[in-house]
Amino acid sequence: MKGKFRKAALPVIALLLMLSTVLAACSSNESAGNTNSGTKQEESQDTDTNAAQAPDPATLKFMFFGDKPTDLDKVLAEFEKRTKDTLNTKIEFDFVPGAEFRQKQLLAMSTGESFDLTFDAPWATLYNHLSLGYYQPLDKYFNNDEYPGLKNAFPAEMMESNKINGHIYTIPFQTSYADPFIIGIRKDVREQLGLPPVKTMDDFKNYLEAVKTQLPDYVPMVIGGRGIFRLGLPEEKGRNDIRLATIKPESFTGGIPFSVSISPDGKKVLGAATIGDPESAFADFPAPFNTHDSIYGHFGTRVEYRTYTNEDPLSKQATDALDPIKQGAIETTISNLSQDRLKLQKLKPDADYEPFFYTSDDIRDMKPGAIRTTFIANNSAVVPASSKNVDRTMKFLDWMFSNRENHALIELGIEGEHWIADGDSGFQTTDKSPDYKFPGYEMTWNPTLSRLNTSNEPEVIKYVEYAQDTSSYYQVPLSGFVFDSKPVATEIAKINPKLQQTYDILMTGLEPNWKPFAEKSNKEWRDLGLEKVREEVLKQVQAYLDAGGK
Amino acid sequence: MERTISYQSQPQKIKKMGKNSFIREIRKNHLLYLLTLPGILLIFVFAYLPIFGIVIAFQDFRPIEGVFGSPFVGFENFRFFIESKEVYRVVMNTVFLNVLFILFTTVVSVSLAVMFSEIKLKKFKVITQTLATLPHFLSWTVVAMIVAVYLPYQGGVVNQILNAFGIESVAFYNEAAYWPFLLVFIKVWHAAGFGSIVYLATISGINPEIYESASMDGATRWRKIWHITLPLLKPTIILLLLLALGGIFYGDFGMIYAIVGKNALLYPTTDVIDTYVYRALTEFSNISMSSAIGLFQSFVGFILVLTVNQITRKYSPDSALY
Repeated sequence: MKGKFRKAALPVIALLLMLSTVLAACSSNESAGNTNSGTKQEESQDTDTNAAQAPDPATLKFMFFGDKPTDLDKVLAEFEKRTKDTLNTKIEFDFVPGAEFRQKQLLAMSTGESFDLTFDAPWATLYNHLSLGYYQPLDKYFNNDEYPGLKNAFPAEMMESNKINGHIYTIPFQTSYADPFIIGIRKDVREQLGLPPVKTMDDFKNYLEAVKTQLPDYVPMVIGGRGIFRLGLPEEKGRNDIRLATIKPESFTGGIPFSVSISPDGKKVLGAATIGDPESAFADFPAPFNTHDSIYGHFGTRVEYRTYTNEDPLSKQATDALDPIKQGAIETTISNLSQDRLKLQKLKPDADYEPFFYTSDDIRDMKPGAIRTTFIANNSAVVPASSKNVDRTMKFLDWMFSNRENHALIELGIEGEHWIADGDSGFQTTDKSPDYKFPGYEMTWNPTLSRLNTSNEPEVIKYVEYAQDTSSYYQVPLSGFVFDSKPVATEIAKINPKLQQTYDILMTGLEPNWKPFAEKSNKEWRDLGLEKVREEVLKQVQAYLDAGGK
Repeated sequence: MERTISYQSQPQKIKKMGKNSFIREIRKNHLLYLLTLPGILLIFVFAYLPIFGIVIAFQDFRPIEGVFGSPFVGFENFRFFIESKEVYRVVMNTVFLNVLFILFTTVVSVSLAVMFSEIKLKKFKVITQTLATLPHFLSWTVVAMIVAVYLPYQGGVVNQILNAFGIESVAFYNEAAYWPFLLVFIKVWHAAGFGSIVYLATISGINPEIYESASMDGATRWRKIWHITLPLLKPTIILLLLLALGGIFYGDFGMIYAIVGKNALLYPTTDVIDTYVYRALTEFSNISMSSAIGLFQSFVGFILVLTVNQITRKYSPDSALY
């Protein structure tokens, strides 16, 4: 038996040895190739600064998520034609399907693969990846006369509010800081029921009640896993002594929605409290936010509305399977409403949605200072640490952001084919528009350069313009605070799945006894290390205030 | 047949050849060794080289510094999993669901295989077999969509049938208790037909003379299945069970995440290690912590296979892996 094994093993070992030498050769070849390209790049940068003529050709690799626009190659060919003598740059876009994007991006960065621009944002993995050192600081490219396009398109104050720990890492993309959340009321259904337009929460409830009693095969209010998203959320408008995190997406402390109160002089942090904490945790909070329900009572409102919502909102498949015609109201945003309307009218031409501004009357009336924001862009691009072409990448972005013509080529495609101009700052879609749908939030959106789609309904345009106006916003306290989750990563990883579970049930109003449920869950989170996270939050906020943060 | 015999007799020949046997062995069978090369290469590159990656589970892995630059932190990365009370429930769910899956698919696969082998009408056999294997080729996302046609409260096929019989609708997506049954049902539908192929192959390898002589002794069809087919299938069944046991700590993420998704109401019975870890780490993409869990799962699977194999060797030496 032993001899047999040896005889079988010898050839195998021989093979393995052979293989490993082959593989080693492969890998050393590869690294040799890498160093080559590195030196080439340095040379090209040298010539770049020395001479004004066209620089050496360069190829940039951009990784984004979503679908590749059908006519992308056509647009890139036009781009290369226009910039042959100035930029001499080729761009390779890698569009990765949404679900795989994070994995692929992470893999590329952790193996040190060189690529030059990718998407990341506060709501995605930005802060976490930054703390791991994945991204390059970009301070020197902004507010710098060598990059006039960037200087104009990204004013200093905009970059100031997007700084993280005092440095610029992101290229922020936005046309506005927020997209107002609304409920789309079925106009045709409302008229059929003989009800007046929905303006207040009472109107809304009357409407839902009427749909429920008179149209039994309709779902009065269709919700998904996040419920009626911003229903009944209190706001800290006009205050500088509290920062609320009423729902999970508002969390600024590692995914756990801690509301944090600070002393009126802005020097000391007073406390941090979250869903299900005992009243004592809120005692130090400034009135009227000194009780649990004043901040988290909206979960109770969600239970009230449960009677109007679809039976199984937590199952995405079940929600998607609902008959779109038999829905009394949907949860959406102002800029998505047009899309929703198109989808609905395809199935029932005489049906229509009308917006109901359930979050705030001030937004409905387009009052200044009505929308809550941190002034941090929702979407942004970053340059991976492994990129060797930062200068060339920023030169390209500088070119793109230098005027409307360049910008529109990348954002909207070829003029006359994919879009036609409408005035100085508007555009109309053409029947070829669907062939070039560039995801602007990943590389191009900009408040001064992006053109407005004038094919939308006038009412929607009014609100889009309102949302683009900086004076429509108010800034919350601790806007620049960035929580470093590293010291409590284990605790957060333990709490998060449990918290998410409770949270989804609370958001959809599925648990009638929501408060005891929240309190019980809170006790479980405490067993998993909630107090340690709270201490860390207080410590870091205090350090932020001590350093002069507001 | 002759070929096999000559091949099997070779080791004995080699024994007599003495010291230079290795070179001679290579020279003699170099084509056969060449054939194994791609397989060995594949296993080496994708199964053995990555083993070094295990160190990541014990490091505070910082991709920029790489495997060699990241500091070691011992068992720190395992803490979030081991310390959480949730883990007990999640591990129980994983093992419970997998035991059900393995048990029911095996029983149904074997029964299907026996039934297929008993069908005499050729056309009917081909059609039924194809229909039974078909679900295996549907991705879980597609299966989830099919399930979504049957189970919703409003407009789901199952509830419409229930209503037709005067029974009230059941909110399947809100009630965790139904789901072990539902998942097992879906899993069996998906996998059993394909699983029966191996058993069917074993059955067709059984010497027909055994059946003939049994018939001559007056054995009924049922007797023949019970006393000939099933006993001869036993080694295959045990072998496949053994292999399946190695994966018992791996929840079927593709299936459960596609069908259950982020439905918190169903977690009590459907949350398995993989979906739990996914939720725990999705906000951080912490490579070290996910590696730690992966290591934990394969380690437990490895121990399980070793133990069960030992037990098998004792009671049924023919079926043991080694």
